[in-house]
Amino acid sequence: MKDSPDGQLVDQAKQGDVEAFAELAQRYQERIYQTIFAMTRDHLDSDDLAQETFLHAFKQLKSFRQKSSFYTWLYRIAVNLTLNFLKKMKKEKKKKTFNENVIPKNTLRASTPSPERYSIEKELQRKLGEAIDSLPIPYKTSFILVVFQGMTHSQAALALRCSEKTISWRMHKARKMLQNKLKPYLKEGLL
Amino acid sequence: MRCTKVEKWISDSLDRELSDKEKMIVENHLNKCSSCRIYKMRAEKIQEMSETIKMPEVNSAYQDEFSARLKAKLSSFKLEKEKGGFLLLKPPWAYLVGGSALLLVITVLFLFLFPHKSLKREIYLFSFEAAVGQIYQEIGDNSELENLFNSMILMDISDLIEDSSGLYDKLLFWENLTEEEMEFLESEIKKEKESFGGL
Repeated sequence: MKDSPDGQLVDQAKQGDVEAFAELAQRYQERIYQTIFAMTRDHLDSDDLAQETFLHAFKQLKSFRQKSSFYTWLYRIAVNLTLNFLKKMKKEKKKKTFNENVIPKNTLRASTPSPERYSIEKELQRKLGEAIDSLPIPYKTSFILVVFQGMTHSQAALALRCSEKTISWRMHKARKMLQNKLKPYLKEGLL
Repeated sequence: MRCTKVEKWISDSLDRELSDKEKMIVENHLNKCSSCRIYKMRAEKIQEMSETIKMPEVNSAYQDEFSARLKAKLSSFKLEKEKGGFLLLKPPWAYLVGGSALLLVITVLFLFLFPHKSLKREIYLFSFEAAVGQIYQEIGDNSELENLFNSMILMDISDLIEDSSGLYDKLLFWENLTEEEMEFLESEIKKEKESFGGL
């Protein structure tokens, strides 16, 4: 079952095979969780929403016609549930810094950066995280799917039920907003 | 080529969504426009830093625990679905509403097809003949009541006669009748009474 393609597992799961669906869930649970977490930045909420995503997918599996990949369809459910959840939240949660549970990769460098440069980059990264978090939800969602999940504009459009042009436009607007927010920190010395 | 258009194409190029022709147009513009060159450099820096932001790691213990919880929920959902079929998808209050509606329909149909005797009787009481018949039925064999009822009717008739001016003489109606006519009238009333009693 571990080597079975997604399509085969989907067909089995449609017949009520819980094991087949559980295998599918295991393949994507990390990515789904990470996408949701990028939007909510809360572990408990992300865990609940991820569970809800898979349960909802299992219940609605018969309506999945496999016109898109299972992965894209799953993302659509996850994003919709998360957006609905965010809309329902009435109180302003204390925003955690974006990097709180994130371990940044060390960038490959020919030489070890100086402590001063390292702290500047770390600060910039922190500010970048805050800036991404402050993006309007449609732009932030598109940015998360394209940049963090590596989706193409076409895949992101399917997941968000919009056109490719809309995704392209949202990415452009998101980047423009990020540049404006980070302008004081983007000095030629860092480039 | 306007800078606003080039800025958008720079964004597309970072996502590898630009065609070769579009890339060439952007390159030509960048050779001439310093502000767009700066914009591109900053955009590339932000992209590079974004890609170094790692998503929260999900360790294998959490993944196993997540899978176990999910499997339990899926099995439980599947079991409920097999037990109750489509009805389980409805909210609980729907059963109460549905049941009440069904009961109401059955009750109305039953009353329509098999109306109660009291309802029948009420319908008949609206006609004079039925009303008189009902009274004689109630009186039954009680001769005292029967005489009382008859005298009440006759009194009403006499009142009517008195009210109508000039139709009759001072004498009452039956005072003009002979004895034989009186007997005939009484026998006819008795016959009527018997026929009403059959209702």
